[in-house]
Amino acid sequence: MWAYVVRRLLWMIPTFLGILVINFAVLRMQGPSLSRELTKATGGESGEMNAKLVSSGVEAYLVRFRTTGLDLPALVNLRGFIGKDEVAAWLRETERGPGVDDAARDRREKELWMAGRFLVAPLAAVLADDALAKLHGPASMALSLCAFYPLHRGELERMAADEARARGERNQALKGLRIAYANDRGDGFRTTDPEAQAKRTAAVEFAARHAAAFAAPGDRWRAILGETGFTLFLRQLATGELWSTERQQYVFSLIADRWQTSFGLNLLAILIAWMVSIPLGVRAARRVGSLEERASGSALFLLWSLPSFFVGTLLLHHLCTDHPGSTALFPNRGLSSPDSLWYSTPAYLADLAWHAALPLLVLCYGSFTALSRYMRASVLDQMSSDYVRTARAKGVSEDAVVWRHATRNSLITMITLGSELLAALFGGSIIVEYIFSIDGLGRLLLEAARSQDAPLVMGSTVISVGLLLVSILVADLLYAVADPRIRARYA
Amino acid sequence: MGGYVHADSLCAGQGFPKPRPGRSSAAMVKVAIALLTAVALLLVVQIIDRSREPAQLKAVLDASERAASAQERMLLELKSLREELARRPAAAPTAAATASTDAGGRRDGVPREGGNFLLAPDTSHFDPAKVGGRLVEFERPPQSLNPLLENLASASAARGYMNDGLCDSHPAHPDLWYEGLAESVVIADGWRRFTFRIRPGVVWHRPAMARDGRHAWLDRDVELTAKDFAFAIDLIRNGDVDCPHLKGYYENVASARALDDRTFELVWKESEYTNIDGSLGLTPLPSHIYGRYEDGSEIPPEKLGAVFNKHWFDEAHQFVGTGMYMLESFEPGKSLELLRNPRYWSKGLHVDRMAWDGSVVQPDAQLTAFKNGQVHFQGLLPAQYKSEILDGRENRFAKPVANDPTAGRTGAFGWERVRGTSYAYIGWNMRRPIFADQRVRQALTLAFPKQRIIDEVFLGLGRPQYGPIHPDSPYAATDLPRFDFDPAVARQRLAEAGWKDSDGDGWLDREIAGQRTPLRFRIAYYAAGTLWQNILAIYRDNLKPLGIDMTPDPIEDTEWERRMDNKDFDGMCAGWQMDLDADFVQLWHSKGADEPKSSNHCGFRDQRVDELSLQLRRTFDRDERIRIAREVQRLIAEAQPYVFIRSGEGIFAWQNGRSGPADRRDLLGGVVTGFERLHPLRNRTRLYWTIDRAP
Amino acid sequence: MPETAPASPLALALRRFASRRGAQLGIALCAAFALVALYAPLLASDVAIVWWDDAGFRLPLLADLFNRRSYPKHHDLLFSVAGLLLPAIATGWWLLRRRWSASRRVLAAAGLVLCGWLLAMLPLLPDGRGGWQAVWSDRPSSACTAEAARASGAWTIFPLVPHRYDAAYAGAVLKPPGTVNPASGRGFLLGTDQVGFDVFARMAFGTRISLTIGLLATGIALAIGTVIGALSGYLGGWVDLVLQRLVEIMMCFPTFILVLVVVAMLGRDIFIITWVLGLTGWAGAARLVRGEFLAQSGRDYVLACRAAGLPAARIMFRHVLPNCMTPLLISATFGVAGSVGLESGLAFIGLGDANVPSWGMLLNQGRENIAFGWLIWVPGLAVFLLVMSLNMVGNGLREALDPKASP
Repeated sequence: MWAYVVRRLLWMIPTFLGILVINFAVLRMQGPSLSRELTKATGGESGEMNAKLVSSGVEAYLVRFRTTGLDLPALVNLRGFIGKDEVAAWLRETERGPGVDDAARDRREKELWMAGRFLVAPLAAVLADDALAKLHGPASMALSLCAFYPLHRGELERMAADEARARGERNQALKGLRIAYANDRGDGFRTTDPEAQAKRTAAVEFAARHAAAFAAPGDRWRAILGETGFTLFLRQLATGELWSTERQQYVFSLIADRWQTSFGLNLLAILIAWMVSIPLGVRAARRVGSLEERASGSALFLLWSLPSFFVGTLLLHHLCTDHPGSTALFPNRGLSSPDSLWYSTPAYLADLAWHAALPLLVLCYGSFTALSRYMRASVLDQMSSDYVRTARAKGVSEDAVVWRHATRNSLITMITLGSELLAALFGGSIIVEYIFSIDGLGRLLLEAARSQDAPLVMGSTVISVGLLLVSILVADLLYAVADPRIRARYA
Repeated sequence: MGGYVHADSLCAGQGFPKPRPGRSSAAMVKVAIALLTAVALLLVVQIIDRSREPAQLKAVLDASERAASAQERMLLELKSLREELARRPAAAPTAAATASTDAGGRRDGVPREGGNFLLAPDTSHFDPAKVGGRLVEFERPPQSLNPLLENLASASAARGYMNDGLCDSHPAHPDLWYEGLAESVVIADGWRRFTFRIRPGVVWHRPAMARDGRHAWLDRDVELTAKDFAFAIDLIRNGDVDCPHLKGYYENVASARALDDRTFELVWKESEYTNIDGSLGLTPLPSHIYGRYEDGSEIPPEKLGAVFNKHWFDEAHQFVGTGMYMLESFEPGKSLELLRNPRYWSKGLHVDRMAWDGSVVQPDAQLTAFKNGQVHFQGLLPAQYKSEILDGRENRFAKPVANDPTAGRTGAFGWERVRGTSYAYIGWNMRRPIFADQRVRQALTLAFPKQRIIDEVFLGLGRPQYGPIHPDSPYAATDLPRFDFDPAVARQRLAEAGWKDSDGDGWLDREIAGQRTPLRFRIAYYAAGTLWQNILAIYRDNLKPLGIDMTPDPIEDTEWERRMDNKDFDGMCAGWQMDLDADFVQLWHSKGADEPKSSNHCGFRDQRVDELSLQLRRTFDRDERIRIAREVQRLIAEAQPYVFIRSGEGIFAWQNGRSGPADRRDLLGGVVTGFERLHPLRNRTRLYWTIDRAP
Repeated sequence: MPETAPASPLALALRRFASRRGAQLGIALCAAFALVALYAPLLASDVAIVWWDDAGFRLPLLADLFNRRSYPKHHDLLFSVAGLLLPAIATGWWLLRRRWSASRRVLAAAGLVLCGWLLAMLPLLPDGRGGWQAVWSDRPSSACTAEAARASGAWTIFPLVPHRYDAAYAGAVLKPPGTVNPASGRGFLLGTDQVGFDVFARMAFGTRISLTIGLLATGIALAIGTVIGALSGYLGGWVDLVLQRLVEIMMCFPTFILVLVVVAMLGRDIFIITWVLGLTGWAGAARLVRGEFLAQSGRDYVLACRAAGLPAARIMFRHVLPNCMTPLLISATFGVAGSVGLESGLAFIGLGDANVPSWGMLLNQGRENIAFGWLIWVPGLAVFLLVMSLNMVGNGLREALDPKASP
């Protein structure tokens, strides 16, 4: 038995990792864009943006991206191996002009600005090279951004005051290193005036002085796998530091508020589905071919095909809305009344049941059909087996045969079905939570997906899939407990 | 075989004889079901108890007791306030304020150099008899209320209830200013030096957390001083503080100093009209909180910026201001509750408590909740307006009556049309050769059935817009060229511009740079905007017979910004929030035409507009400003870089007498509104009671 | 494949299937939906089917079918071609019933439709100026509308509803069913939506979208699932182990959540939605095929093939796979139903494609305001009926093909 449990647990690891990879890949497909972040940072909702604010917005953007790892390469970080020539070529690509693909140019520029510490040295080398004078403007901008060190409150608190001041001063100094340039004219990169020259030497000096902080020897090798978006994601997941920038809150505390609602709702829905469909299935099996069986079968069949959003919307509008002269039969939102805290416990439970009735109904009616059919088939199967025949021959009453022998053995199949059902319900609860305004994981996920809040989507997907895996595990274990043959295989 | 032993012992414990497959598994199933049920029940109990744990319950009880006592105290204070008001003659406040004016000052509210010009605060809306009640509406509270970091409209609206600026401007007359936290202001040095006299005796709210015992150092009265304003400017300009949207406005500040506790001086580098807004609209920041750690010790200046970005006070979801309401409770994104500030220096609104509920987002669910009496205010979508009011599906709304805008106020649910300050437009990318010709753009406007779209898509809500300034603004020109819907004239314009169907394929074409180009383009719109989808479907129908091939192009959120920034579009649908003020540099100056991320995304360039818009920024004389602004509008309207569509209007509904006072409108004093929500003007937060009395 | 001998198990199963009342109803409903999809222009279009005036006799709708201005999407063309070829296919089916097996006839019909579709996209017709032009062209549609008919006095036959699915009618926003359209003089059978589109016309053309999504997504899912399941079942060993992890991952991921996230990230194009549904829905099919392969791989005929030295791919796809077709067919039927439901669910929560006349988009409008009940009842019932009929067919198939389940 324990061998089975361990084995099962071990198998969950690759599955979970695979889910993490898919999750990560989906969200990496389209991270927030530079321009969107800039717009948000500089103009707010109306989409207004003042161009002269862009340069001050870039740092805010850097801070945001560094907390989510979107500035890092997804899986392999080879930035430590970028040399001066490559950087110079990149810088040339950021030039704007006729025949230049703007989208590609923007991508390149973003890549340069986001590249981080490893690019400081090669950029300084470009700045030191007189032959590359044309590139000095954008190089100085990129250098100041690559070397920018976002300061977090937590880090600051841990740091000594001197060091914090040094960091702050360094960030301030970096802004002073930027040489003004316009990259939309062919000649706009050249910077020969003395002020620009002074900035340039300052930048080169700066890079030399802090060389160790930006790329210590051996760092680039460690960074290949250790400094990537995926490892950062794993680290944040493990330490609970996933931070939702949209909601300004830790992802796990957002989820902690809600998972119980969704999980409880789904679990209750399964219990109800079982409680309704097991008797239904047994009854159907006992009356195979009767009018009643066929009628209930067809009715269940129709129910199965009814889309839940359709039913939910109709219920909301016809049972939960006040009309002139009549009040609503059911509440229209949430799982409890606003003042339910002051109710006595029985009253509170009644209130809860009143609120949860319709959502639960919508969640579980669809599974009645499948479950009761499986139950019916399985009971029929058992009824024709030898031990049932023996029991009948012994003179056991028909009720006892059905309920004590056939049904019990059929329940085994139902357990496994339960876990698959849960997977289906998790999707379904998004719609139910949406219609009935229930603050659960599903709605959180939906809103996160809409606002493209990547950390929140990652976190809540991982959690809901994790819950699912656990429940599947539980079902499997129960199955093993119930069926000696499975245990025997792993004994 | 270990598994079998285990199972045997289990069975033996339950008194079963030898395990037979059928029996044993049935027993196991029993155990399994019992276990699963137990887990499920535990979870359910967990959910039930989540909000009923003793400690939490106690906290809630305490909070409510506190709230009750606070309310009691407040009501007492309000009572005395009412009595005092009843004793005072109506004109008294104004007279008192005038008395404190510096000698010789003309106080007409129009900014000028030299003396104080501020009007006394207008509190004529206030009727002490109408005070009371709690007001709930569906509005999603922001994630944070931090005055510098969070710039969502909902955050500034909430802060507007709780904090005041130095001065207030008249919502309908952007260049009329009232006293706020400043009693007086003197402008000098060519509109560069602003010296404010801060109102004495204004006290910061005490945050709710001050009562929890651990933050006893907060439990005291702190008076507002000039330092709090200087502190705000310092933080905005601090390089570590993450507020680029504000940095832009205050980039030009030369210095901000507290000369003494009651004198604040703000000096700008250049003499620009925007200085007025930036100075008079400034709100203070409580330095006694944001300048300290959670234990009350001072934050060293070099750490201030970084600590501020994630300040403990915000993480505790607290906010303090000097305004008419105090923050009672705040759950980011979920709920917000405000309580009247009994020590408010002015009068404020009638309602005692205000609550925002962010738990319902779908419009249909919101309407249901409104009908069920769960919220007092609700904005209606055009389709809801049609079904509930025009079609009369909900007979608790009064029917509209022609020429009587107040008819809707009488039903069980009152409603009113309110104006917003945004306008919708379709902008043309003028860098594309097909849109370079002014006649083509005029023809595209002529083919746009503006009135039909207002009538059918917006169901009559909104007024046609013809230029870039809000029609209610004093700067708005009334004699703009209109290009109202007329397909025949549109066809003629296109023919003049050389567009005809030369190859008989049904689409107009023209030779451009040696190439036969059909008049075919896409109009990008934000995919979530269903109204745009409807507008473009109708527009497309009207363009087809003219031989113009237009395709609506829904763009996702992330893609949208990239496309706009790179000017990668033919036509685009968007809206601007307008200021009633006039400033054309951001949108229309040609310096933004080729900048990658500017607001002039259409690439509009006109030398005369450039000159005039810069001149307007340097002009302070009101009549002269109006003249210049009107000329710019005419130039823009003639060029039609946009199809200007409509300036916004909305339906606002409220509960009449279902709970509380008979007429809920009185809670806000005179006019319904929530106007603010439809009307998020920058820096102007207290609009609701003045808008109706706009001349 | 066995010939259509009277005693073959397949024929028996089909007979069993055909004798079930549920299956009959399901097939009839499915056929009705298919006919609506194929002949949507006959149900709703503002172009006359027959136009007879002094100038002669014309079939304007036929020409309009190949007009890109009227029907810009490829799937429209596919349906039009299939609809035109349907009579020919039916005749051929009947004539060849004794000579060709059913599967060959199905293949032939599909091939015919595809060829017609490709041909229609090629430049074939003379354009009257000495050149050639595409049959599928941009030529402005003939002005054979109801108004023109009234003006000219021609003898005409019009489609059931003379309204286009993509025309916004003036003054017809959110009109209830039965309201008369002043422009055409005819009523809106099922009312109009928020733009002034005729709901009936949109529903008819939406059938095409729903069927396309359902079939395409299921096709993609089946193709992937079959390959993965076959490889994993036949090869076994570590391949099986790895592929089984993959299947498990896909099974564990709640499909709706995955689809939701991907669609929110990648955009709500109908094409993307179809592909996402296909790419996420293959796990069930893979498991099924793997199970069948495991069961089959020990059979004698497989051993014989191996002994004969046939390549693995040939054994897998030529010999073993045909034996797994029945369960696949059943799961495909349910798969189509599932995809249709998922797509409308997505549109319901606001993630549908706004540029196509899909049922989900109508539902999405109806959700916002229940007062316009026809906007939720009509598409809601349509989704329900389509899903139900597909489920009925799948159910019937399962019962007919599974000897154990027969009564």
